[in-house]
Amino acid sequence: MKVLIVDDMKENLYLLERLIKKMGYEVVVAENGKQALEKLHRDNFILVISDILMPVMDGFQLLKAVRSDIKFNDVLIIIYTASYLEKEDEELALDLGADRFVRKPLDPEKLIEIIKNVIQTQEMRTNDFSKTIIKEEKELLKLYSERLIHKLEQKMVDLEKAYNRAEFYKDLFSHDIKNILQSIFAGIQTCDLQLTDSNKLGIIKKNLPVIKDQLLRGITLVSNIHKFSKLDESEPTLSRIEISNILRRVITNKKNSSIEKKINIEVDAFSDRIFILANELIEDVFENLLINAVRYNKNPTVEIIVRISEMERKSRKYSKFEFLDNGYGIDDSRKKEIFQRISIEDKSVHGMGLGLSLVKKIIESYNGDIWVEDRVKGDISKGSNFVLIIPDVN
Amino acid sequence: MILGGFEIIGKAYNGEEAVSIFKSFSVKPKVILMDHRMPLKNGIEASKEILRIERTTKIIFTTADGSIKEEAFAIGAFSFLDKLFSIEYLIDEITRAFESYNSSLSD
Repeated sequence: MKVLIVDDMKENLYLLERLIKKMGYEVVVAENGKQALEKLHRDNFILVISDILMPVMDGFQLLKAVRSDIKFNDVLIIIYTASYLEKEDEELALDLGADRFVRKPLDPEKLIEIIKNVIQTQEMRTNDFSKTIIKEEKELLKLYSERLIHKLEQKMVDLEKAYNRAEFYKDLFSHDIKNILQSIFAGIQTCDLQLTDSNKLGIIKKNLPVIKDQLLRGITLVSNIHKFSKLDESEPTLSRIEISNILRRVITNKKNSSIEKKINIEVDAFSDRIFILANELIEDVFENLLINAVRYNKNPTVEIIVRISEMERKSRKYSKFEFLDNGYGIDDSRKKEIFQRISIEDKSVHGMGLGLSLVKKIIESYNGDIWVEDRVKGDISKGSNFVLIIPDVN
Repeated sequence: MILGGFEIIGKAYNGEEAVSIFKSFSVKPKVILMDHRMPLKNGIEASKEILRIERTTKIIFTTADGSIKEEAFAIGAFSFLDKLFSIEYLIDEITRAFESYNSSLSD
C-alpha cells in the first residue's frame, strides 16, 4: 500500500519516510504540489501527507486539484504543516477537502496514531467531495488569498525582528568593545607617562608601544565591521550630505597627526558648500586618501592640495575631488592594481586603514568613480593625483 | 586632567545629573566632556539643554557611539572624539576648547 509524502524540505521528507516505512507502507516522495499531482496520476495511493508552504504549487492548491478530480475521491489526505497554524488555515484546509489538519511539530507516536485512525475510519468518511465543498469557488479563492497575505505579513514581522536583533547585537558589541579598549588604552598611556627611564622598567616601556599597536588594530577591526556591514547592504542608504565641514574636520586631524613630518593641506573648492549623494562613509574615504598621501611621502614637509570642482560626464553632473600630493608617485603598471586588493599594511596603527579597494567600493556604491593619475603627467616623482567623482544632488 | 593643568569641577553619571549640576554652578563650566549612552537622559539631550542655558559652553563628546557624530555637531558640540583617542589628543582638544571659549568672549 502506497503513501505519498509531499514537502519541499528534504529533512522533513526523510523523517516522514522513515516513520511511514516503519508502519509497513511503501513511500513515494514529492517536493511540491505539481510533482505530487504527477505521481498521483501515475500510481495508486491510499494516503497523501502534504505540507502547505511549498514552491510551484502549495498544499492548498494541491488539495483543490485533487478534490476536483473524482478519480481521487478515495485518497486520504492529511495536511501536515509548520507554517499555517491558525484556525482559519485549518478551516480552509478542511473546506478544501483535507481529511485531517495536523500541526508540526508532533510526536512521532501521535502522528502514527493519527495516520492509523484516518486509515481505519476510511469507510465512515464521505467520498463525495462535490457536497463537502459547500463554499463557492470565489469564496475559497478569497480565503486562500487571505491566508497567503496573512502569512506574508507574519514573515515580514519576523524578518524585521531578526534584522533588529542582529543590528542591536552588532551595535552593542561595537559600542562596548570600544569602551573597554579605550579604558585599557588610557591605562597604558598613564603607565607610560609615569615610567622613568630606568633599566628595570626599560623592558616594560619597550612593550607598551606594542600593546598600543594591538589596541589600535582592535579598534580598526571594530570600526571596519560596522563599515563592511554598511557596504553589504544591497541598497546603500544615501542622503544629501554637505561635505565641506566633514572634509575640514578630517584635514584638521591629519595636519596634527605626524610627529616627524610637517603636513600642509590646502583646499581649493568651487564653493563653500558642496552637496553630494552619499553616507557617513565619505569621511573614511577622505581619511584614507589623506593617510595614503602622508604615508607614501619621503619629504620632510608633506604638501597636499584638495581641489574640488564640478564636471559633467555623459550628461550627468558630478563633484570632482582631486587629492594632489608631493609623494613618490605610483607607477603606471600599479595604477589599477592599488584599488584591487586590501593589503595587509592597510590594517595599520594609523587609525582607519580601510584600504583603497574598500574606498573604491564605497565610491562605487555612490555611483561614482575613483582613479589615480600622475600629478605631472609622465613624471611620477612629482607625486600623485587621486581623483574621485561623486554624483551631484539635484 | 592634572597632566593638562585642568581642574575638574564636577562629575555626573547621567544626563539629568549633568544638567542639574550645570545649573547649580553660579560660574558655569566652560568645557564639558560628555558621554552619550547614559540612563535617564542621554548626552545629546543633556547637551541641548546645557547649550540652551549657556550657548558658549564647549562640549566635547567622548562616546563610543560613533553613530551620533553628525547629530552632535548639528546641535552645537565643539568636538567629537572617536574612540580610541590618546591622552595627548584629549588634552589638545580641551586646550583648543578653552582657547575657543576665551576668544569668543572677546568677540
